[in-house]
Amino acid sequence: MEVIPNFEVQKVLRISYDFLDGDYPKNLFLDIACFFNGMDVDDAVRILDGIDKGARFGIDNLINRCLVEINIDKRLWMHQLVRHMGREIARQESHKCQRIWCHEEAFTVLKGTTVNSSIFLFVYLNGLWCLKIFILLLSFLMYFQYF
Amino acid sequence: MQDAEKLRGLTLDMHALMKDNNAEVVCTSSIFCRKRHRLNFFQRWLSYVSDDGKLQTGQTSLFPIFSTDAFRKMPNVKFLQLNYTKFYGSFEHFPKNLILLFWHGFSSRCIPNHVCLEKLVVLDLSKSCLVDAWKGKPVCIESLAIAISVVFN
Repeated sequence: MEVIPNFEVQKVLRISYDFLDGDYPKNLFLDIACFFNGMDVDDAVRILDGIDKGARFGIDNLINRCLVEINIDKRLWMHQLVRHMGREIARQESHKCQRIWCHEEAFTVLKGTTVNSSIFLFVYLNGLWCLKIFILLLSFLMYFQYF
Repeated sequence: MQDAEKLRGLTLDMHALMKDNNAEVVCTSSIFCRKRHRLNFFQRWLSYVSDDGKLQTGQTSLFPIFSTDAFRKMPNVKFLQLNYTKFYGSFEHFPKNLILLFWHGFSSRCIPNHVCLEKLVVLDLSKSCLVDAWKGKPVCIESLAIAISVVFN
């Protein structure tokens, strides 16, 4: 669930996202899902106003559509499934606008390397080495059986 | 990363990477012993670097130090969180349109010259080693909604 969200649930949740009119509320929703979950509303509004004015109105719009809530202690809060949906959409739309919220991905972007694949390669090569020794042993055994 | 020019935000917290909560089981198998390790991301990275011989000989610590060349690829980034990261090189390609900058544990004594903070709304440099933050900088920050929480050590 953490990594690959349920497809059916996503499809239903995505309807509310698709009905958001225009790019601004969609971007706002994705920004909140990726970066501003759990942040104080006033702080978030102030930051988002730095990009485009009218963040408060946008957030109210999202609240009306039940995509975002405001906690008792005035923090932006998203249901876990909605947040996952938002992050999944952000991942899919990374060709247009990229939001890197995953620390590991951010690390690889800054380092300019892909770590996981090389680790797999290392394990794989280790495996090959085992195979070689296994074949060698097998051939020895067969040799002795033959005579 | 060819699409990095479209980067809007990036969050990186080295302390989170060093925690165990997203550890993966890595198997190293051989005939004689079969080991399973639970390694977090940082340990996996370390093992990869040391196996590959990429460890620089002059490096005094194992803590990864990033190159500021990485900023070249992200001119339009708006939200940046670089907690407990270290960089080397010049900051001339540091993003100019930054709105939000979280950099806990900022390791330099003053804010580098090329770091442009004109559009910034929130700057959080908690737990940093700053001594004279604005040394030699003509501070022209107009969108003064800055919540600097600089904690001097």
